[in-house]
Amino acid sequence: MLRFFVKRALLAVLTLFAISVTVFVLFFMGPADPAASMCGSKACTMAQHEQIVKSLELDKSPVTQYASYMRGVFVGREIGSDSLKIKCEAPCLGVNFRTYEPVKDIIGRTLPITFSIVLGAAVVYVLFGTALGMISAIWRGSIFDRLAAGTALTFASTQIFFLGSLILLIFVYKTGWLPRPQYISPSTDFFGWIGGMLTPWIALGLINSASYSRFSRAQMIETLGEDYIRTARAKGLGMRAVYFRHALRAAITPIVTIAGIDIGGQLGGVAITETTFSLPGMGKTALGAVVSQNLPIVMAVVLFGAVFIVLSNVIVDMLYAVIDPRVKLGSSGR
Amino acid sequence: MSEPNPRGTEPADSAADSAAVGVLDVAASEEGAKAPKAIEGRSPGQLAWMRLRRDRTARGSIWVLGFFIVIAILAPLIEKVYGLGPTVNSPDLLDRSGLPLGYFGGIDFTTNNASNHIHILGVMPGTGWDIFMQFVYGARTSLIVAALATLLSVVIGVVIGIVAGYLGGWIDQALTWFIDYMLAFPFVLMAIAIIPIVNTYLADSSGYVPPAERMATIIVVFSLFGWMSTARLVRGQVISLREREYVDAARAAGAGRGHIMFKQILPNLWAPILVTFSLSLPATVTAEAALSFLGIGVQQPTPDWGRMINDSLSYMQTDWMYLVIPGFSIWALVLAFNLFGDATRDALDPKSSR
Repeated sequence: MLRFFVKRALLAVLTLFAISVTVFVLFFMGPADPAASMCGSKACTMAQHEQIVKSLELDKSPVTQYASYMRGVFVGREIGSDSLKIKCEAPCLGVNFRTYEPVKDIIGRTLPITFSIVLGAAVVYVLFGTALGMISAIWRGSIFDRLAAGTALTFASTQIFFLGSLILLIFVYKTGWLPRPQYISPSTDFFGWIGGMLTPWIALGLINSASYSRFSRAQMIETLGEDYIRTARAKGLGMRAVYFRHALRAAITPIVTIAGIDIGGQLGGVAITETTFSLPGMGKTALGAVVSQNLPIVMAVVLFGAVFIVLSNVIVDMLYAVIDPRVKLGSSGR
Repeated sequence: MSEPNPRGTEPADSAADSAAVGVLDVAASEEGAKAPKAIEGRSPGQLAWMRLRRDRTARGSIWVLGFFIVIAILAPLIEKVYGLGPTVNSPDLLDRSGLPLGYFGGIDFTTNNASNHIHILGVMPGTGWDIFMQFVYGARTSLIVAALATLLSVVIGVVIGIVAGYLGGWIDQALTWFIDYMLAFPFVLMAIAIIPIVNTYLADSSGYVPPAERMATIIVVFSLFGWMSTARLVRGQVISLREREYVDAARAAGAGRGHIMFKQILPNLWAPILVTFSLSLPATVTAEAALSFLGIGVQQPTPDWGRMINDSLSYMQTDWMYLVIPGFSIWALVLAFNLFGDATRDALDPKSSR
């Protein structure tokens, strides 16, 4: 078991290293003149341009640049030349060259918003989807089953930017039944936080629950056909106990797996949801940074996204091994 | 959508009902269906096609998809018949704040208006462009990008999957790691970060990028980040197929690796490949529209549904038809693709259960 975990973790670190190199090459070597694009086309003086070139060490070799970026991430570094020095502490991800705000602070400011959207929505769609799938499996072939499957597929085919806008239009602007989307820190006003996040949660919940309902339905039907369920029924166990104690438990492991991978992926890709609901999360910030070609921010956000994906994969793999005793490790490749 | 999944699931459901009896039932009913006719050989392809044609959902989705494909192909012809291009300014159709006159975003089936032309889906606020022609040419953009990007990514995925699965050993390990590595990139963020960088290279001195090149960039980026699931699937299939007797026979007959991989194994994989292809098309349609919604996809004057939605948000409260028309178009196309993909899977693999 331990050997598997160590091997898995090492592989994840290797992947992250490779991704950081790729992203670095792509973003810092890619544009013809990163300093000019970061400086802004109009108000850029030669001195500013020079300063950015120096501080990004664009005049040095790519390897040196990467090394100092990574040194900044782990031990911190000083950015800038003599005229303006910015001390950038340990997890240093660079500095926004327009405002001189450390990228670390920008991430720290936007990350709670992204987390609120993604994790809250995940709770909604995993619970709702699984419940829907369970009921569909129990009432298999009924009108409810067909209707649920059809509705779920219909919502799964809508786009977050369309459904989200419709929800905003109908339930927020026209009728005022739902509060406007906004981020309020849950520590200051818990119910305000829920209210502000309600619209994205509903929209994401409607779109994403289809795959969970489909999956839990199939899993439940399969489990209900097993011999041990018949045995449980034969010895007089009630249907409710069969559904919750046996069938649901069998379905929960794969659902946790899918949810883990989904959440990891969405943490790196909620730019569309955040734009739809005008929530200044990580993705929307990255989008703004792309438009203004503010590379340090883009780089940091992409790296964070990759870390989330890799981390969620590792966690799911390990969780799977812990939860499900049938998973034999080491014998097969993964 | 009154009956979302008609025949496709029934054999599987009854089979799951009570395992042994259900299977016998299905076998018996299939036997019964075949008995009256004279026995004739049918290829797996013919059987799948028959099942697809019998499926009501599949027939419906094929009609919807056919509609979109036809209007996309015939867009210039429709423009001629309709008599109005997608980017003809008609400021006279708008009131002083730039909103369309008339009802439902300026929908007008008569020529009794300022432009002397019908506008069956209304006009765009701000410019007075005809939404119907935008819709027609938008279908073109959406389908071209989705079809080419999906095709390219499936080709890449199939080649990598076959090579990894058949050759095995360190090549397989390296390719599997490469797949994991590619999967770890946050796709949306990478797309919105890379496409502008590529465009700075394609732009001429004034910063203009030709529409075709913009589209090509999107297609290439989508295929570079979209092949991994196909590769994983194909690799898994090939690992079991490579142990089959016909592969041994081919090897014994002296066939080379390339021949075995692409002439012997590949033809046995077309069913799962077709299913992945048809199920990843709707995802690509959504991704393309999302990119345009974020303002990074195709630009004016190339019509695009996703960009129309983005554009419509500032008029949402006064002219909601402008939001609904492109949104409904994308939804209908994606839903039809999804239903068609599900039906294809059921037809090609009748054992699969939903």
